[in-house]
Amino acid sequence: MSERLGRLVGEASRDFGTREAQDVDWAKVDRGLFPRIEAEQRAEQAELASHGGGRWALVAGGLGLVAAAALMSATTRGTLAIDGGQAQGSMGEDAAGSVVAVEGGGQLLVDGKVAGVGSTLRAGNVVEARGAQATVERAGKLTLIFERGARATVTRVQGAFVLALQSGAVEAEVVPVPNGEAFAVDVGPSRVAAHGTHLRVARVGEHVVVDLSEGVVSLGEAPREGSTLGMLVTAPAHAEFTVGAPEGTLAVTHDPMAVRAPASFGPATASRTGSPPLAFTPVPRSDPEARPSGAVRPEGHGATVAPPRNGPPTEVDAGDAIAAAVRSCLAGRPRADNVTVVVSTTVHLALGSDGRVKSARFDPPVAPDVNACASGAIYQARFSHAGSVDIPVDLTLPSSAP
Amino acid sequence: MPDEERLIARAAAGDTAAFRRLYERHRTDVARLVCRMLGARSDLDDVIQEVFVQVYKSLKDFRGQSKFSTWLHRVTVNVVLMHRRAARSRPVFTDEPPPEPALRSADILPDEDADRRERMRAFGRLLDRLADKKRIVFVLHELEGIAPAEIARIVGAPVLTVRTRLFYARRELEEMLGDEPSLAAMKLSFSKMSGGGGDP
Repeated sequence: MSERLGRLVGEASRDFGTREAQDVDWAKVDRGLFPRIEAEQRAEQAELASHGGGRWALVAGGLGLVAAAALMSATTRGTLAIDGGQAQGSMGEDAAGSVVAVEGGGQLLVDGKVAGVGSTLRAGNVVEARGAQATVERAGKLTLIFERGARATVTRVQGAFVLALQSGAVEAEVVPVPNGEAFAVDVGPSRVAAHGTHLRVARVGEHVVVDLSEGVVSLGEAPREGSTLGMLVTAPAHAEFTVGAPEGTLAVTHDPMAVRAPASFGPATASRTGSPPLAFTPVPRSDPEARPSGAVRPEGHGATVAPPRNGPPTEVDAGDAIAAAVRSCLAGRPRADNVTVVVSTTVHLALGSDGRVKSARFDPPVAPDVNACASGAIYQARFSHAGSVDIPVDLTLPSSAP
Repeated sequence: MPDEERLIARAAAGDTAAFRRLYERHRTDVARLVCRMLGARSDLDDVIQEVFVQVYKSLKDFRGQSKFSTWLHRVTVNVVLMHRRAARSRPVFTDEPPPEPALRSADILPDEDADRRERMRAFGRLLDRLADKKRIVFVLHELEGIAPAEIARIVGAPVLTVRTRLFYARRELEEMLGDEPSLAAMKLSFSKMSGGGGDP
């Protein structure tokens, strides 16, 4: 090493990163860290409880006083959380939703305890659908099915409802929200985030399958806060990827016949039959059970969950219509009066042989809610040629402050 | 059983208070290592948080076959690598300037302080140009003072490989020094600080 590099390294070993490390806002780190640690503990406790009381007692006996206190606290919370009587009509802000149906011969377990219709799910609850299928509703926001064998932890209920899926499958119908994400499923470090959609997420080991029959989802690393920045997948879509590496392993097809038929929610929930078993390859066209009536988008289903849509553009003005739709979505975002917003992006479209949009990409990326908002116009567009199209979108929204 | 081992055993059994003590004992070292491998960033808190979540999850697998600090470095390096891989797939918002490193010291003059800060920023940029594997061994050895044999345990590579990466990291940094004006002009700055000397 030269004397110059040696001196630089000597200085860096004292100074480089040292002051930043001392200036870390530890209170902020603590606020994020310890709730996650507690959630881990609750998940572990539920896991132990679900594997037999003898083992649970053995492990619990080995814990220290503080851990024992934490255990008692968690157990109390768990009892309250799944108390159907208390849940009726008393849904607090920390409630994820209520169980409205449990079907099949098995049980729904919440934190290792049997739960039934009327039980309330809360942040930190570990949900296991053991031989049963459970439907949870968050009034006006979300209907969620835990399929047989599903195991997931409710990790967030404020704002977006976030589930960490450990195994099995969940299917959701999500009512669109004007901004941000309404529902997300974390699979390891990866997140499938929905703004308003009908989706099913299934996990077996490190393999994840997303079937999207309505709307759009973002697929990327789960952020601590804010929206998921990642790849957008727009319905109809069947996507598969490996946990933790969606960007390198994602395979998507927009062939409607490859998309698993959505479950029917709503009033029919009580009489709904069980979902077909997990399938990790597109179900063949000839599989009648997986594709009842062959309909990917049942009539009257999309009206309540599809993102806002503009009218279908004609062949002539498809590009202009898409640009207008994007500008409209950008302009509709909330902003401060004293801020001038300048946006310059390009929509890159890949077109099929019939001129329909096969895939769309913004460069540079725009916020996920803008993607979701504009996807309707983009995917309804039809061009008179195949190949690709680049549509520049420029927008300036001047400050309205004096 | 030494105090640290007791804490580790209790934390591994689920004792949150013991885990908190371990965290408070090692968090500044982890933060410094993360800073050195990632540079000054707005998401530093998130990365540190992720390191300690991973520590909590993995503590039960810590068998005491290596020093706890070695194991902790290994967890930190893995989280940093995961973070960098994820960051490469995310869009970069170029209108967000990186936070300025706060490298102030009461015993140096403001212009020297500014020179030094600029040198550290430039040094960070050079480090960032190194491949992950070379940057990690360089940071661990040259900045953290860890011996190659211990680095080998941290990164899971033979000692010879660590030494090779170190050799190439130094050589590449030497070659890159001229790319940074503040480092090319380093002779003058060091002369002012030390009262003379510097590279010929």
